[in-house]
Amino acid sequence: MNQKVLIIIPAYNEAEGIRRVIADVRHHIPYADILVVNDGSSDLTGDEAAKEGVLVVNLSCNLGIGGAVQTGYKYAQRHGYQYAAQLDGDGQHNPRDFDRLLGELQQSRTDMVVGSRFMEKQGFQSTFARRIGIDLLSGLLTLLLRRKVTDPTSGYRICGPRAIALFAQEYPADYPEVEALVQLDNCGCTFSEVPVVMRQRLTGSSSIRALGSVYYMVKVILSVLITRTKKKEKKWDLGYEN
Amino acid sequence: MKIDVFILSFMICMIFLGITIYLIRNGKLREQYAILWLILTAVMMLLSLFPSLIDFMAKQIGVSYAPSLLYLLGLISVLFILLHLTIAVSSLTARFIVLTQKIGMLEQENLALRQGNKEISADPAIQMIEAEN
Repeated sequence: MNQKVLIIIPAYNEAEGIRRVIADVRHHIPYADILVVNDGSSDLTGDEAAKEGVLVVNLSCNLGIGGAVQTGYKYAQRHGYQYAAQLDGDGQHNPRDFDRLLGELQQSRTDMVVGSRFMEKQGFQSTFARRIGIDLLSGLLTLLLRRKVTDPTSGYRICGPRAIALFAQEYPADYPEVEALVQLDNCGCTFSEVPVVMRQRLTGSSSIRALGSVYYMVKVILSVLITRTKKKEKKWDLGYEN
Repeated sequence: MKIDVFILSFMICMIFLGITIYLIRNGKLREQYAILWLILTAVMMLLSLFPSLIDFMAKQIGVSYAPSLLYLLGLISVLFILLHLTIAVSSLTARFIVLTQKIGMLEQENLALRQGNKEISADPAIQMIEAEN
């Protein structure tokens, strides 16, 4: 295999479902290495994942989703992976869609491909209240980035070398998905979206709870706007590209 | 001798200065953070020794009730110290994230190396080479 692919699965207290998710991913994406980032779980998530024989990085404290995913990108950069994808450990993201994501990344020559659940409006479409929030964010991003963004909150992504290097260096700590898109665009990198079908989560609950949703919106909008003001004129580049 | 409020506040400043220096000496307060407190103490001392300074400043910038200027100064100082503290906490968080990630990855690599070594020594061909040496 001339292409090295790393699947990053961030997991926090997912001991029940993690083995099933790993088996599912391995079944559909047999050519990829799987890295479970155990984000300081208080249960046996790390041990359960290790039983499946995948790569496991145990974080000694809970860093939140951003810190966990970034660990994966750092790992990918350190070990020379050409592609790194993130996929939630709760079964929402269907590994069956992965080949299309990878294909799009290779074909379109963009730096990142995002799986969007709203392009073809199939599968689990999130709850009504959450849809309003997502619509607001995608409107904001469409405006700021001057291009159509349908699902900015999707955490189903695959990154090429430039995006891996960028995220390994800098990645938002909490609620990172939306901000990461702006970061990518700031640095002159590109991304595209591919329709995917998302499922309702198998286990665990969303990191965004009812009371936290106001904080989520405020934090994300604020950080998106602030990140946008950091836009550099110079294109961000890897010195050793190609 | 009658103890007036200015002597009293000067004494409070002295005690505060003493505590600050004691904490620095014991390594419980880093100089980096102590400098702000020391500056604040110095200003408070100056003002309690020469209370007319406040009246003078109030007249200069047109504050009719001089003590309110004191409150303003106090509030601004405290706000700056609080901002300084939250900056310090943010910087600590950033470093802590980097460290936690690094430790996690090193642990994983360490484990992989040890398991790799075990596999190698379990390999009969290498066992023979090791036995020959």
